Amino acid sequence: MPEGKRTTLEIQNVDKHFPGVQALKDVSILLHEGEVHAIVGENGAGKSTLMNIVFGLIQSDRGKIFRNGRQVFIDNPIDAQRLGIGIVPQELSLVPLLTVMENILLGMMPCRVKGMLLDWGSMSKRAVKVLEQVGEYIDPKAVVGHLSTAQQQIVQIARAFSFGAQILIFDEPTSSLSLKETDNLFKIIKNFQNSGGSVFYISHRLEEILEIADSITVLRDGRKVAELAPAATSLREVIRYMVGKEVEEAKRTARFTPEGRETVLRVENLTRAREFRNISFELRQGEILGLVGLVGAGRTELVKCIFGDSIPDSGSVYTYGQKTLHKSPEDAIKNRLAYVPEERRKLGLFPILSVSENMTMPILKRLTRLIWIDKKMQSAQVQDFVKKIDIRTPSLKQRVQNLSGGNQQKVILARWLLTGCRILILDEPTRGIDVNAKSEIHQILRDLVEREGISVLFISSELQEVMKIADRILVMHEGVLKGEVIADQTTQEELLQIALS
Amino acid sequence: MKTYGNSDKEESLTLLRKVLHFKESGILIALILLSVILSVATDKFLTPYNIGIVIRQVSFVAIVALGQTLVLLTGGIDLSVGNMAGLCSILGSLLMVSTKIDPYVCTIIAMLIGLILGTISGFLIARVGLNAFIATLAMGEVYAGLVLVITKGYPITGIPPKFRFLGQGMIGLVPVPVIIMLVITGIFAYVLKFTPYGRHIYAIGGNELASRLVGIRVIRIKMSVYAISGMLSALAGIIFVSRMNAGQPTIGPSWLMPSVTAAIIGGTTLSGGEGTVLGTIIGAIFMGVLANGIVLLDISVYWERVIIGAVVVAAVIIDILRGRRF
Repeated sequence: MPEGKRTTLEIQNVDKHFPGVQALKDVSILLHEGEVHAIVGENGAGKSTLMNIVFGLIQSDRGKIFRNGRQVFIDNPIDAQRLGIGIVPQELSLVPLLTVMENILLGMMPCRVKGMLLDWGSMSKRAVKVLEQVGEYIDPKAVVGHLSTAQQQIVQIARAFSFGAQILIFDEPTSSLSLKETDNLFKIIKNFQNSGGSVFYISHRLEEILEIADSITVLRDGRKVAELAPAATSLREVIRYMVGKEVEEAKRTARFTPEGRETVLRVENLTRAREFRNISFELRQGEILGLVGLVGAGRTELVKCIFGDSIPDSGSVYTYGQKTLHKSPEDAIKNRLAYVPEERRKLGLFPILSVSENMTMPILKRLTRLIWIDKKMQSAQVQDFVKKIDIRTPSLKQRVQNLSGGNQQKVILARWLLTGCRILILDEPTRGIDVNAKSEIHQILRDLVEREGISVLFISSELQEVMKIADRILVMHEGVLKGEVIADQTTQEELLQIALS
Repeated sequence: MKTYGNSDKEESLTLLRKVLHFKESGILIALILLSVILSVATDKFLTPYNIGIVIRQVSFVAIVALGQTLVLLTGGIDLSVGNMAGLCSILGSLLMVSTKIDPYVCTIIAMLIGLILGTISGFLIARVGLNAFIATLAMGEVYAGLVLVITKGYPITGIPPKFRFLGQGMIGLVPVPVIIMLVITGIFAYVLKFTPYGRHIYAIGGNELASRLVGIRVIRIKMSVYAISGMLSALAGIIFVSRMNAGQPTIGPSWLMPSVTAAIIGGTTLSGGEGTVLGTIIGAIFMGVLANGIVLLDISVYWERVIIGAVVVAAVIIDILRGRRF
């Protein structure tokens, strides 16, 4: 903690109660000038609630906030902006069809003739100035929807800069950035810090928090359980505070031996224009095959194509030794494949349907007696899996949107296990999921391959995770398969080298 | 965590909570309140004759609204229902008047035409990818135009007398159209709750992309709901022919707004995935009673549309407020 530095924001004894949960209890935090203050905790620990209070999206039940020593009342985001507080949300809030400069200056576009006519010239100038401040060049006339996620994030940061933010809240900023883009973001944050700005930084990636933060506040069940200095702590300690106990590192599976194992999935020279080309690999029974690559490598496009969501231009897919063409996901599911997409909320869940329905949606026909769904059989099967993989839900009728991220992911896993799938394709299955749930999901996957002989194709941007869970790792870059390594004989550096070579 | 002594009270509380938990309870309470107010305000409301008129009028709109509910549940909307009912009823009555085909067979043919027209809308929306709003609006215009081309605006008369039973008959004390409405409601309630087809409809409305990825035949199911909506519109239209003894070229458009309204105030959301046919039926009855009340209380009928519009806005606001509580 930099002693003597001025306190720029003080959160004092904040409480927040939601129906059924005490989201925050007596939380106090000091944010100093030029400080990057990380807030960590499991999902549901209260990080987002706290940041929403600071940004005025919700109001606390009790407690005070001081800005530069003066008590302030932040009733809405406009108050927050006036106080120099900006946010870079996880789900970027940009207008995709408008240009970069319009997005940056949204709500305060310069006008001529008393607000009747937009002054495009000065708008462009101001946008460029702000972008220079951020230290990135993006064409101000570019349409935001055509930019990469990283560039869009920079537009979002620029918007915060444009009203002179001195405090920036970053909510999971790196979750969809590549390593290089992450480095770049850190550079921007460091610059901001050096010019006296302060940052609240929320992330599940503890390694990067240890790298960038000046202090770490750990929340658990709405309470502040620790404030740590990165220099004087370790990953292990942070995790211990987060979960309140030691997380057991799941044991590595015994070395996987490909000999004598059936090849369940073989891809040969699979090509789809502008997405990927000449991809060939094999997946054996009971194997976890990792698939890594920087953002834009074409991993998701490849697996979606294997799953029948798109049709390849050339090349072929063999399943269980037979040549197959999946024309639709339905075909692939019949062929006992399963795909857990990356964007859980958008592509995987039926938020307002129940846990039970979410789990049985693909197998309803199998649960049908004559013309009605056998509800008893349905809940019996669901109950079985809820126990087996420990899905924490108050009831099977609970709407799945009320579950935590980890439990939602388990619901989706259970859904596919219920279909009796043999080949499980997971796309970033642990993104946005807290450490504890993450290691649980890893354990579930290990059990599955060992006991049931299921094969898993595992995509993740977290190289360490893939190295820990996979047997072999495929490396893709810009639509091309660059190489293959044995997971426990490689390093992050080697993987990156292969990708970029 | 049971405490003895006040378990009765607790039980009645949970019962109340259960009642309130039903999405239909809001509109049901509103309907009861409205009925009580009307019964007090005028002695003409709670008479068997008046109730008979209201429920029979409601049944036409309700049959259309049931199809509309299916479409709304998938996240779509069918704005062609009214004009489709008009076109199919005109074609059906032409067939009855100018050929010797049994009028009940003509009814089935008219329903098949509705089914085919609905399938066309469904194809444009689900397969070609048109926006449901614009596709059905445009198709509705086509049907309205065809009606005028065929009839030149004159009603088709000379409907065989034996056909009157469908729209004017009674079984016991209950008008036939009401029975048809109840039967369809029963079938739909069952299908939506207990069959994979029904649950897939909710799934598509809740998350279409996810539905595709779990192997639901999204395109086929979306096409089917428009087909069903078309078929039910045709049915309602042809029952109305039987009721009026004539094919009226003007019946259609007046059914569109009430069909959407009944579903919405009955708890179906425009974004899809949420709603029940029971709610729609209660919603339709509510709208019918409201219109009836306007007449009975001697309020100028010109106010009817103003009041109905306001009720819809109020219903949607209540829905939003209720959503916030959780």
